[in-house]
Amino acid sequence: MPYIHIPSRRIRFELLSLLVCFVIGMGLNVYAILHYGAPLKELWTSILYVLEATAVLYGVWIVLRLLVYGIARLFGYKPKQYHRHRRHHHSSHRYN
Amino acid sequence: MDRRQFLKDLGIAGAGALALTSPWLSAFATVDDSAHERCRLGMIGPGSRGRFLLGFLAQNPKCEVVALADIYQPSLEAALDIVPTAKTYKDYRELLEDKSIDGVVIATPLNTHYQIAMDAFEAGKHVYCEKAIAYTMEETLALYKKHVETGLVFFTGQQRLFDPRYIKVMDMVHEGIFGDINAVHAYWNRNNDWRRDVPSPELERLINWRLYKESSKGLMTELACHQLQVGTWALGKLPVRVMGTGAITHWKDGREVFDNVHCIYEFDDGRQMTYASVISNKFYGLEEQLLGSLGNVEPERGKFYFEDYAPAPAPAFVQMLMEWEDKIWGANTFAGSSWDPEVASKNPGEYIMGVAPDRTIPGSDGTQLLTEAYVEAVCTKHQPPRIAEEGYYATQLCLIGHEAIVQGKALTFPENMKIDYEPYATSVA
Repeated sequence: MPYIHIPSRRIRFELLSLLVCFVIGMGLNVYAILHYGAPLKELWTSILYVLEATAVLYGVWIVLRLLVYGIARLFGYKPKQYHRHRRHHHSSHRYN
Repeated sequence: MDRRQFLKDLGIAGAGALALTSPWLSAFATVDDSAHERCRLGMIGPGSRGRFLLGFLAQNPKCEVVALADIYQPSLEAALDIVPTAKTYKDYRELLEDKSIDGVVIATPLNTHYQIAMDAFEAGKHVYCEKAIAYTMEETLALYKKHVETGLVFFTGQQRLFDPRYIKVMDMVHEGIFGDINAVHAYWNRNNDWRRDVPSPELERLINWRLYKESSKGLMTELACHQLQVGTWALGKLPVRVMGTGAITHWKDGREVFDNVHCIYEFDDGRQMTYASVISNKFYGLEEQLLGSLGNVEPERGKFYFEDYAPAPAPAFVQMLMEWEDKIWGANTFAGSSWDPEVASKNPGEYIMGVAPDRTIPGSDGTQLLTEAYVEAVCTKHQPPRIAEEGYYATQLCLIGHEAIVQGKALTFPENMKIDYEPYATSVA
């Protein structure tokens, strides 16, 4: 059965992207609190809105990258492929 | 609620201040001077309402209920449980012959009020008569004139005049805190057939007298009478015209009075008071909504609400998103928000007395204080101002409303039924 091996560098990059999205969301919340003169407790009482914004921003970031990838493919650019491993009996001991 | 608690709740320090709030409360101004006085009362008609009143009178150290009169023996026997030493009579006229009795309390069917009250005045007795005080407008006027002519005390069963919630909030209304009261919506809804159990068929019209034309005018005289008075109290004037409709739409069980009535009372300056009573749905209960330009009052609920109430703002994050949305999509400039329903305000309001009214306390609607005020008035032989007049107009308004329904016409309040009473006398064109 084929499976995708995601290198730790990529995982770090995705987690970093998520963190950046969260920081942007929290930044917007801080801006809104200051702009509308809202109580500081909204830093945590609005955390669900911030998390929702994080998810939306991260989703937008994924869609943007898919678009870029798709357009690049149209023009024949082959981005770096991750290794595809096929599980073999001989190597299965590595995963058991 | 006793008198001391009543004064405390109103935040009124002494009896002198009472006259400033609601003039009939001056009945209590003499309460210390008359501490050693005691009056003797007779109860005519100790049915369910009568016995409710009797319960308060029996506890009042300033009076003694010495006689009971009723044509229905079970009512007499039940009343004797409350005042065991009272003499009983089948004929109220025998009770009136007792010279030692100072005053009477009349809680009989509506159609009998006039004759009994007139006979009581003739016999020199002070009178408390349950509302509505008479069956016709002419009888009502004659009764009022008799009270004026004899100078005897005359109270009517308008207990809201002694309800602290109403007294306090009417003060606020008259100070203009709620702006111009341009409309009053009064209603009383319940979902029951209004019947009492009848032990024998020949007693049907005696016990269920509220359901038959010969003895009652139904919802208008039994319920509206209370609430119309609240509207005129708030507006400080008497309506000039009334129109209405009524029908038996649900309880088609042989009754003769309407179970569904709607009336509009119009004032000389165009303001309106609506009255509705339906006894096949109880969802909205009863209320007298005073709709002011700055606020709304619901005294039955014990609350008032200001119009400028602003709900807590949305979180700043949401406000920011909404602002972005407006910038991106723009405001609808061609039609505004006319399709948005103007749903009822979510303003939780404030309690008139600071706390929610406890309706489980018997007599807390002003009934106990009303009986105390009557006893005080009988002891001092002094008629408090305006109380007879408020009762007079409450009855006249419910009677003319009923007449408008029956005739199917808009009726103008008759000139010859007006009495010399401020502010009504100056406000009616």
